[in-house]
Amino acid sequence: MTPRGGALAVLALAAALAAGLLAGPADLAPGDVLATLTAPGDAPPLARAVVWDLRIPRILVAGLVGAALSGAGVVTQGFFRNPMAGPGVLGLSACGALAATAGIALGGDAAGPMATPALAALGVATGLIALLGFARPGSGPATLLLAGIALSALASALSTLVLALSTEQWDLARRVLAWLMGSFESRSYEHVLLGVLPVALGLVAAAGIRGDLDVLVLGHEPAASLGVHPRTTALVTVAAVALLVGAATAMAGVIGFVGLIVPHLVRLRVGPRHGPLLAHAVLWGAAAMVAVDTIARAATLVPLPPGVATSLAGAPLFLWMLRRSARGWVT
Amino acid sequence: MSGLVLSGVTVAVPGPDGPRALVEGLSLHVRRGTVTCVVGPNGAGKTTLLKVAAGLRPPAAGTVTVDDTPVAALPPRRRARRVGVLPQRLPLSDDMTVRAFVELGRHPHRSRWTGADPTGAAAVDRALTEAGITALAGARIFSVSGGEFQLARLAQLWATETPYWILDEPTTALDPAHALRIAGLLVRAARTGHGLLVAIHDLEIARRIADRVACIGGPDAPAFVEGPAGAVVAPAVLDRVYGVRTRLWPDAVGFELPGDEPPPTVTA
Repeated sequence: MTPRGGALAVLALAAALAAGLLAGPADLAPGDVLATLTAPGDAPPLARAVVWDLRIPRILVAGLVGAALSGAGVVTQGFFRNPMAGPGVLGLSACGALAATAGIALGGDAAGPMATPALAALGVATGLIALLGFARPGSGPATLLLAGIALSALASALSTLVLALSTEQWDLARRVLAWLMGSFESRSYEHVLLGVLPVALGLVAAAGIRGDLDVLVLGHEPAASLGVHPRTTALVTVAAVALLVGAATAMAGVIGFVGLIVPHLVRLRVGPRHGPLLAHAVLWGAAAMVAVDTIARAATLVPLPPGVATSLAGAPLFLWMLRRSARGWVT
Repeated sequence: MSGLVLSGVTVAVPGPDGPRALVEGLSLHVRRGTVTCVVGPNGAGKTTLLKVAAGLRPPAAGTVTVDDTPVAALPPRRRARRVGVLPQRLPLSDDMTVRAFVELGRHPHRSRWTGADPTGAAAVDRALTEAGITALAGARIFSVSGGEFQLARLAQLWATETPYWILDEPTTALDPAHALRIAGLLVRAARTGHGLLVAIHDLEIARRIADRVACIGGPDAPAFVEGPAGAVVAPAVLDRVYGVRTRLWPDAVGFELPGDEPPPTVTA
């Protein structure tokens, strides 16, 4: 990480976190927020509740989700050697959501707080393994993306089926729907604790194969000749992506495009080495997610679900990237 | 027996009636300081044979050892520090500087967690110098010419600091100047103690750089001819294997390899 580029990323994250703390529907002046932060004991109970129990856990969850999805995107784009291969495009978020919604509908979330992230991770891992079976590394970008589209459609259809079957129980249907839209509403420290460990483990696993991902730019067989172990790298990729996307999905439901756009834009600036790429993408991903969520709840007339907000911003960017990469796409 | 040694190696590919042997029972001994070329028609199995020699796929029969260790028994990173490979095609999926591209050759030496590689920078500098592309170090790899790209790939191989090199058609699709430059670099690599196994279509270059040549394929496959370059790259072998008529002109125009003495007189 270049010192200046790194400082910029840290600064962006700090600014996003500050904005997230200061903005919101509750009528709190910046001074009040600051006072509540420095001396929570002396603050009025309402301000304390808004800052400490609503905003802080919310921006922490948003930051973790953004970091996790961007980190996962760095891994999938590197492993599949494809700038379009984000976890959302590949249908992995949809698989995580399907496993989690099915778990919720069947009452699996009552098994314990880690049940939903574990199920989501399992869903992501299953989806990624299926994808590896259909679009083997080296089978070309079109095969991979088309397989991802099919996987995404299948998982979304099954999620809708779960939703349709659960409409009898209104409360259940509402919970499932909130999932599928992606939400940071009423996130607590419980959610933060839920996500911290899998996200940290996933990022450590990703960092462990950063050098292998660097070499995969040459192709899978040339990389093998340079000592990249094909099966180990695939397994660590599955584990890292499952932990990261599973945790993100468990914390906030389906959030599209972050895992595609942030790593892609960071790659344009930082270059193709996955060490710096991962570090920058994690910081920028967290910053972007917090910023999008802050704008979605403070600057719009209706509170936009963050999954909707990221898709509104992400889809046009995705099309721009597609146009850009169509010129220099080497398979 | 030190060296890269293929003993009784059979290479097979899947066919409609089960595995079909392309080469059967081939033995080669690539010593350090020598060049062994593999020639033969398209589809003869040169690329598959090279992958077997590199330990990237198992042989249908026989063994491959590197300095007495079976290549299949070596963990991937240790294997990659013994045997370097220049594959026929390199489907590069992202742009970077030529230097960063050459640095990828250091992967087997780099620590997984810290990324430390104390001798890496020096090795990359040396590789760029050997390939004669120090001036290109800052250029984008997607913007260099085909010949320069091949030189960069050779520099990447040099940066691996592996004693044995396996190269699949290193001169294909290059103009004569670049092809000869690559050929000269291969000779230089052998003189500096590398052992080279090279699949090549250019018989003139094969005859000039190789100590030994294995000619595979043709109507006699899976049989093959292996021997000193002068004995294998000869009409008696080539006519049969390629189904063409070969003539060697003793007074033909020959390009000089860079840094090499004038071409040896042809005796045929």
